[in-house]
Amino acid sequence: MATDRLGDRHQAAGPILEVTDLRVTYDAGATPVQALRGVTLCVGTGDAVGVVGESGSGKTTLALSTLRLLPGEAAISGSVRLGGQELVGAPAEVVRRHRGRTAAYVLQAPGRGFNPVRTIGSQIAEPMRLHLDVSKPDARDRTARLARLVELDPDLLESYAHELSGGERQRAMLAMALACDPPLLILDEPTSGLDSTTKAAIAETLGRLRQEQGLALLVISHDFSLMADLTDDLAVLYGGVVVEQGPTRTVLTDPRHPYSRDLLGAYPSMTTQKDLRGIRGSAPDPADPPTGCPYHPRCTQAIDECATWAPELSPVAGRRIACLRGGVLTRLAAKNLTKSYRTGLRRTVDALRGVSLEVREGEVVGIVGETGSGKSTLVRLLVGVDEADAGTVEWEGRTLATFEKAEWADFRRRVAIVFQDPFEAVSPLLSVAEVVREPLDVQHIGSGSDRAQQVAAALAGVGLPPTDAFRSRRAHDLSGGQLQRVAIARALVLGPRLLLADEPTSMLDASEQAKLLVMLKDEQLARGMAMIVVSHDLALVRKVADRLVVLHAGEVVETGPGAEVIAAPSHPVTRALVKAAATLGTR
Amino acid sequence: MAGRRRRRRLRRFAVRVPQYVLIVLVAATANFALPRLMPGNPVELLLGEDANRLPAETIEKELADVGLDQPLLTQYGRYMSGLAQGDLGYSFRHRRAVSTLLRERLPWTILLVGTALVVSTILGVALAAFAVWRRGRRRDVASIAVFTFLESTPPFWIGLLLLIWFGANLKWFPLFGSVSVDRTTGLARAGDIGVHLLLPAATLVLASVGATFLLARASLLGVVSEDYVLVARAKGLRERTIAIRHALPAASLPIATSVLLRVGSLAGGAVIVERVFSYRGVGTLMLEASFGRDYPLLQGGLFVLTLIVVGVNLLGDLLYPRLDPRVRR
Repeated sequence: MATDRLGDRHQAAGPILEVTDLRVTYDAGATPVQALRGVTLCVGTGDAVGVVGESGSGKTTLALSTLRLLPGEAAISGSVRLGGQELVGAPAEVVRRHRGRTAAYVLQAPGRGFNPVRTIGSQIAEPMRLHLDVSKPDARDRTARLARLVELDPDLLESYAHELSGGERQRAMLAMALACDPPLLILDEPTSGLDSTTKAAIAETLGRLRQEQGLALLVISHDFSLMADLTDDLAVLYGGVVVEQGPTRTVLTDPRHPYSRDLLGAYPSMTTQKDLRGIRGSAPDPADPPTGCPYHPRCTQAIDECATWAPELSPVAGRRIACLRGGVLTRLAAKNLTKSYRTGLRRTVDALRGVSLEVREGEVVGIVGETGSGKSTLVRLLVGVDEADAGTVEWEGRTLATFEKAEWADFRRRVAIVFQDPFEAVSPLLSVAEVVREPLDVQHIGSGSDRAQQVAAALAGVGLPPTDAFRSRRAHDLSGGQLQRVAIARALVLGPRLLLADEPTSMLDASEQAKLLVMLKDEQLARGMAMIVVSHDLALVRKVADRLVVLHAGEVVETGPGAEVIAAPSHPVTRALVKAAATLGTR
Repeated sequence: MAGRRRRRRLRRFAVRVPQYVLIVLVAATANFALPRLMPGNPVELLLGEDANRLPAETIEKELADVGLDQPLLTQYGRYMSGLAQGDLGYSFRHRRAVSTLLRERLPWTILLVGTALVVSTILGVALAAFAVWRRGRRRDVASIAVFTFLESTPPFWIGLLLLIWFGANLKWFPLFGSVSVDRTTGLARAGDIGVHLLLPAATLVLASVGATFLLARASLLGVVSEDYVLVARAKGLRERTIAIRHALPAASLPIATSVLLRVGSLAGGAVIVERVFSYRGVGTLMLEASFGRDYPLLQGGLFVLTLIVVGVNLLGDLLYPRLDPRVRR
């Protein structure tokens, strides 16, 4: 296909945009607001780089800084090199000549980017007349060509902004940005406010323009799917700092910074089927940013050092992240677990045949399999009740087999288990308070009053009345749902980092089951812990699990994100499980 | 598309015409009624203090001469039919046709008010643009204080101060009149008119520039924070270009509205200022007519003023869609 390049461009070798240690502080009110706190970013010629972040992350400040469009009260330091020209500290006239010429800015809300009292066409032509030495008729020709290039009806050039639809305005905005054939486009939320069909069409046009015109793109957005469509590299901005940076696919499919991971978890997409999850706490106040890592107040794996040390970006698994803990922790890892049981004099059963598994902080892993698939054996090995014939189980990088006594105690405190049948797991003779307090007693944690307090908190957490009357009731007086809650309160009272739930709701009716699962998810969000849910019920597990592991005859036959596994099961066993899962009506 | 727009504009205009006709009719009636509501009658004032001593017949004869002996309704009928034929009547006091008098005086007032309007608008808008673009907190506050003060100062007071300083003390400008009698030709006459115009026009400018400045400043402040100004800057436009080609056109609607609305108030101000500077405009004429209960002159003068104000409004109706395409809907 012949490309319709708009003109020759004198391209400088090297990156078109280089931002180094950029800091921007708004000094308007009583307290200065630090919008950017040391951002480094590079866009090579023809590259497409995305910057993703929530509102208040500083992403618009970053976009405006690249053309030094910040308001007067913004103090800027560091370096912004655009087309080889340093803009920080450069005279206004030098900066002005690069605007629209070396990089063009495409505004967030296309409706308000056009002057309402001037025609669209005259505004598109304006930068040409300014930067390129073109005559009026030539500018008009070129404007019409630009309109066709961005798939805008050239008849609309005589119209005013209010006469155009949102999509048309965004196309006109693109045409205006392309007026002087700049090598770089800065797109600030290019598709926000557009409906999804228009959004997709605009993204497609942008992709095509990039191909045909050899454009470099800097895309600023909170929209992950746009990033996936448009960009090659992605930077995740939080509290004015880049927390993760790497190839877009890598970052989106396997985010490693806790913030990226949590943000993706909150993003609705067709590739995750589980419920949306918010991030606990709220975004940092830029007037009073947290010390150390900006995410530590909300991070579920933060340690004391996170509050004092600001981490630098360093390479982890094919991208760079700024996290003292090296990114999202792997809590529990099983490698090549093999286990067989002797069932008779000469007969053995291979319960597990080389099972590997990883559970990361904040993640919910669903282990699905039929009876006899090896689920129970796997659970026993994972919690260290049984030892594997071969293979290892690691807790935060340390092998269970090498644990000393103290390490075991710590492990027991941090990994909690909820069993299928609460009537079996809870002694019917103990009172509710005694059941929940038992782990504290066993681990000798806290004084008597501390324990009573923790018990009350745990009971409240699982939605049980923390009254004396309820606490003194005997376990055998409770309903199945209540008893399972008591069992969960007992599991949570130690503040575990991993909760292993083995068929936690199989004894409950549907409404109790739903309430219990919602409660478990809430507890997980509030406390931040990893979870393993073992079940034969695929319909249930997919609602809570980030990742599914399908077990069959002691082997992992399939693993992956829940939605993918269910939408396109590759193994016959998975297909059978999907087919057998409960459906209402026709499939 | 353009043809459709023009048709739409024509239709808008056609809808307005009966409205304007109605306004003019109502105003003409009010112009007839208002002078007659004032105490006293023209003959008594015309004849001066002797009126009391004159025989009643003389007064009645005088009244009959000017048509005031007729019932009000008949007077009204004559007045309206005269208006329809373009006849504004005959001044009791000047013993001349009202239209001739107005034709003599109106150009002076138009010159005075027009100059003041143009200068105060340009000055006010330019100062506002400057204030908005170079805004520093302290200077902004100071300029607002100065212009608010100016806006709330009565024009006659400003006029008197100017007259005392520049006319009486410094003797830079003539104290009264709109033109000297002796200079009658070409450039000399134009210069003379200019010198006579300067103080009264300056008075009106000072009295009205505050309002324009404050309004233009507010409109421009609303515009400069708009996204399209940021986009214009991102295109690499110079600040001056942004101000002139983007901000001012977008802020022009309220500014134009205020300028047009001010024609009426400036005409009112002109009456006072003309009096202070003994300027030979319609204002002085109307003031005299009102003291002398010169009904036909008052009616005629007010009618012409009404026509001007209505005309200005009509101009606005035609102008707004050109200033802001969003009005065209």
